[in-house]
Amino acid sequence: MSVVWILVPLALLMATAAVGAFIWATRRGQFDDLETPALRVLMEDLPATERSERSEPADPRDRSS
Amino acid sequence: MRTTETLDATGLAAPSARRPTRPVDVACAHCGLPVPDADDEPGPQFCCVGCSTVYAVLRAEASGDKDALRTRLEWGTVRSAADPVARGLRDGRARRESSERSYAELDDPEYLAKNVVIDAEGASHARVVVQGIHCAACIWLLEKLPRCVPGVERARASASTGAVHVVFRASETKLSTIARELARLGYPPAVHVSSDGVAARTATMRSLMIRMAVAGASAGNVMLMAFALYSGQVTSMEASWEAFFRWGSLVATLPALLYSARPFFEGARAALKTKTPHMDVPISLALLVGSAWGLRNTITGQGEVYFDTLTTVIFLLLVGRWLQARQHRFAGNTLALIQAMTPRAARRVRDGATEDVPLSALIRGELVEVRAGETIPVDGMIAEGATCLDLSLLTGESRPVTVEAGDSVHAGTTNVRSPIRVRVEEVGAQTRLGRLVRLVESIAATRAPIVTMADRLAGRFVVWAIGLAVVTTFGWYLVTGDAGVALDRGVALLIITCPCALGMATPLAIEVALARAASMGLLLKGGPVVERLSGLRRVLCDKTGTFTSGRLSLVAWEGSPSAQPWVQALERGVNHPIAVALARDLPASDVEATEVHQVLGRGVSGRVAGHEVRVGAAAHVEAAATEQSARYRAAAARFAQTGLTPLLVAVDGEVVAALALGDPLRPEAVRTVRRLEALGCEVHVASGDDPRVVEHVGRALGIPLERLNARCAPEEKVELVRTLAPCAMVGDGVNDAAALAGAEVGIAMQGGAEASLAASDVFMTRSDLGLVADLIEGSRRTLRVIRRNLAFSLLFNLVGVTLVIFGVLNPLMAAVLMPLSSITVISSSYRGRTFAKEEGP
Repeated sequence: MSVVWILVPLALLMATAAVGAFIWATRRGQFDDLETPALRVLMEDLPATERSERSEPADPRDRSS
Repeated sequence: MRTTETLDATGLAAPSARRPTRPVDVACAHCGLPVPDADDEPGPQFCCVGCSTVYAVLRAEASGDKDALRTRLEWGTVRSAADPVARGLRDGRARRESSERSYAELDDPEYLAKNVVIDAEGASHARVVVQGIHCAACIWLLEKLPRCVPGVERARASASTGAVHVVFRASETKLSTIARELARLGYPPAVHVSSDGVAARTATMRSLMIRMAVAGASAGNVMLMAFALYSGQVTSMEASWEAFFRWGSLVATLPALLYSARPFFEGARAALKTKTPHMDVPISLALLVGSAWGLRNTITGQGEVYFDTLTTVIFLLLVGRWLQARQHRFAGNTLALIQAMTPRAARRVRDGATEDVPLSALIRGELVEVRAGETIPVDGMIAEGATCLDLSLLTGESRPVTVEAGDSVHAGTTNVRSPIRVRVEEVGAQTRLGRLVRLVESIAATRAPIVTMADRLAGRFVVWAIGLAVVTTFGWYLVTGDAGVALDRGVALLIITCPCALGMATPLAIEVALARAASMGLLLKGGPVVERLSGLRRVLCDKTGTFTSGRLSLVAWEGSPSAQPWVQALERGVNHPIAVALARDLPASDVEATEVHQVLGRGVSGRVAGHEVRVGAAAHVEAAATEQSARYRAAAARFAQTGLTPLLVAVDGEVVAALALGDPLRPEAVRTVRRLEALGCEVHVASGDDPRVVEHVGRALGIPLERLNARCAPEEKVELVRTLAPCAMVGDGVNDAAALAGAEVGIAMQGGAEASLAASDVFMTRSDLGLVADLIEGSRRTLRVIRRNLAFSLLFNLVGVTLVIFGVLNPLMAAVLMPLSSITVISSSYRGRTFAKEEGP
């Protein structure tokens, strides 16, 4: 049972890390639009001759929250 | 054989099948969503440009037609008019946006400095808010923008904000080019949506999400330790473990209390200072007292701690707040509106030479030149030239209005056809547009924020909660003589009466209602609108564009029907609103008209099938006065009596028909008025139009004379709104914007002017007047759901209070009661029938 002495602080530490990651993701704007990414999954890619879709352009204004 | 078009008792013809004004329930051939402005013509119809393009691309792909595919993708729109897809584009949403507007104001260096950001690699980033994003196909099409405009590297569209993030090279293309292409694709940019509000809103939402996350992590971990403590209540637990878990809970609670809960404390402080009832007060009280007492009990090792309940409360309430924050959409800044609607510079003509000067440099009496595609910068009179104007920014109608020397023009309208020179009369804030917007601003500023039902309840609540807590404490002290136990009970009571479900009751019900209303085509700007709507008993409606379709249509034809195809042939090639209406509403013919000659303001003449045909005012038609023509002239006079525009048709010098053009009532208008009256609402009409026309419309709708108001200037409409307050106002033009802002609830019709959209609280995405009745019905039902939710949460509070008073409550029970009450409120919100599809005709 004395393992609980270690586990509880460890759990709190992991929770802190998770919250930290969430804050980082929010600051970078990943949670700003929750609806459109769901639509993007459904989109057709054009015939092979066309170039493939690039990833999201990072907004240069998005440096702080 | 002569026939008379069937006129009903009011002299207005009922719309018939051949005129495409009846709204029909048609599903988009590509995505299945309902098609706005559909008609009952055969062939596939589409809800938006995106869908029609995707449909055509897939068809071309399937048929192996690589050229068509490439053409389609490169040009983004349809070339052939015979293509059924083109028909879908022509009569669909593509019609609505402004005709050849140049968007030159977007290249203004001041605008660029504020709205375009250059990144580290030298590419320009701009955020353009567009109208008309409808479904996934629209997103797909918009993100193909790089194909349509050279110089654009990437485009990323967002369905939730309606904005397109465009990355382009300023050296290769201009923002105005991009804007024009977007408009051509069917997604006209809304230039006037300011970006300042957006940055603030994003920051608020982000901070709210982070607070929510911290509270959630805190609540989860405290719960972990709380479970250990619960089991310690069932069996026994060593004091050291108990202390460990208690201290652990305290540490885990701190982030939630000190960071996440801050909005509640600040809200409570503000509410106490201004003495307005607000839910934050009992919440903050419970949090502070509960945590302080929990700290004391942790240190002394006695009594109960309720950290789990407290952190869960913080988390759930923040979820409610987050939902509320998401509901606030389309916050428009009307001041930015005027700044974007008129250009900042004008082209002054002096001594024959033109120079670009800022607006502030212009004085009355000077001459400015406005070229085709440009926005008129001032109020004034045309000194030279004749052209067509696009008044959509002011009236919401995009059909061109012909003007010539001597006519007045207004700032904010677009010059469509040819260059004109305007003598300056008013500039800037003094223009009609400027005065209207300032009126809107002043009205909006005086509107007090609504104190919601839940807040008022919470106000009374605090008093009761504190009173009960004091009584409980004293009672238990008298019974046990132990101050510690007594205080424990008192604190527990404060915690259990914390209005958690109360805080969630309203946002949840409203969230569901807003979503359902949106799927019906009603976009509400925020939660309080619903509450305001439900209490209204009076509705004031604009006439043109609201009760009527706002479109000039052929309403009556008296005379030989054989002349109709010839008239249609004659009017087909003429660019004038009357000709467009006639060409559209008369049956199509194969004959061609030659030698077509148009006399501005009088009529048209030409040769069709070997006959000379003239259509126009009596003087223009120049027919010999015969018995027959007297009859038609009488008919024309009759039409004029009822406020319609009469025209005569003469073939080879003999009058063969009289026709009338007017603005017919929407087919659902009468039914909607009946529905509104059944809901207990008085319907009033206000219009800038002639009293005869308004009287006619009033009679057709069954509205008594005293509720009709004709020849209303915008300022008079505002007065009317004040007299009738509290009322809802339905309108579409900029001349309605001030009244919309002043009304308790402003409802803007689809296709309305942008100013009225910014000033209103509700936006209808379909041109269906019945939505107004749906809106009021739905909001009443939503209020019922909210009341039900409040009743449930109060019930749970009562149960909790009873348990505390009898000393039976412990943290485990509290931890069960809290989620139970929240879940009840959640399911009650989702099951509630708020906005629903209308059953029956």
